[in-house]
Amino acid sequence: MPARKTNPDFMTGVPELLILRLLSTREMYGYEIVQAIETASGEAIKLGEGVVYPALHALEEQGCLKSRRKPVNGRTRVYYIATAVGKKRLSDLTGEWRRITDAVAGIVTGAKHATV
Amino acid sequence: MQQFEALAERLLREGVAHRHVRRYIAELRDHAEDAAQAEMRRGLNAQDAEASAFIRLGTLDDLARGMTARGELRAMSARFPKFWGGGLPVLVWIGILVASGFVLAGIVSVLRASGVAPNGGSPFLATLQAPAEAVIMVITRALPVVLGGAALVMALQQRSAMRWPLIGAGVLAATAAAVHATVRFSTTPDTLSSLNLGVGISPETVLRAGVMFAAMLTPLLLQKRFTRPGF
Repeated sequence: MPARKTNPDFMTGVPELLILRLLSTREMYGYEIVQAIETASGEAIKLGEGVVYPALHALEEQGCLKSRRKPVNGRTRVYYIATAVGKKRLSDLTGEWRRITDAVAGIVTGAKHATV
Repeated sequence: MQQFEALAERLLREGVAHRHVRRYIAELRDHAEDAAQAEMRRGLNAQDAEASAFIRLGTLDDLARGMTARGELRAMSARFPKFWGGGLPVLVWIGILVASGFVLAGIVSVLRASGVAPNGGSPFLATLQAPAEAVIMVITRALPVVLGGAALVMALQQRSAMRWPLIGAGVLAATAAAVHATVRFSTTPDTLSSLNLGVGISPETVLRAGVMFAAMLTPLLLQKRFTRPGF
């Protein structure tokens, strides 16, 4: 079975944006986050586990997320949720993402004054 | 499962903090289990489902790269090995020693201000003599061993080089052994209580330093316990 193909390096920064978006409304654990991103993006975005968990740990270190352990069906899962700092970061990242996508769309569709 | 043990060893040796490694591995194990169950719901047998789940996780390189690339996940001992292993235990011990002196002085001041020992000394203060001596004994003789040993345990867990923690333990043992602290609470009015801190070197000091250093090395004898996979 071939290894699953995940998105390349130009996605840097996107995992944080997607994770913060998902965790801004409710707490989730890693597997749930990976599945939610795949489902919500129609499988266009497949973040590897080697991307999601380090991003979760790093965001928690930065104070953007907090975690708690919760026993579920005999296993202890680590649930994450966005903090106020995380929601502010989400707002900043969303603004930045919109600016870039508008600019790229402008270039792709041939607009003359696209700025990045 | 050996894949996870190999990944943990690699991450620790590359400086990722022990607590992040432990949690990451636990999360990946859980993730693989969830993925395998999902595959089984799609009709795969248990063995194929597990194999498929591991393939989905990615290679060891994929799983390691994300963690090692993030500076905030690095252990302090990997970021500042000289300070963390060599200097911090000594500084923490000196800090606690000085703080304990202020606490003792504070207790005497409070008792004086509250009227229990208005003229500096009081028979009541005699009740504090034995506990205060015990605290000083713990701080000057036991605490250095705990701090030096803890630094070595952390270095073992982190798979760090032992050079700086060993130097730190040696300096801490020598410093603590050379320090002599005494406290005397005055039990008679108009005489003040005293806390004396001195430093001296004698054959006894050298012997004490050796004993303390040897005690600090105990974790090295239990190395297997502190370096077993997943610890």
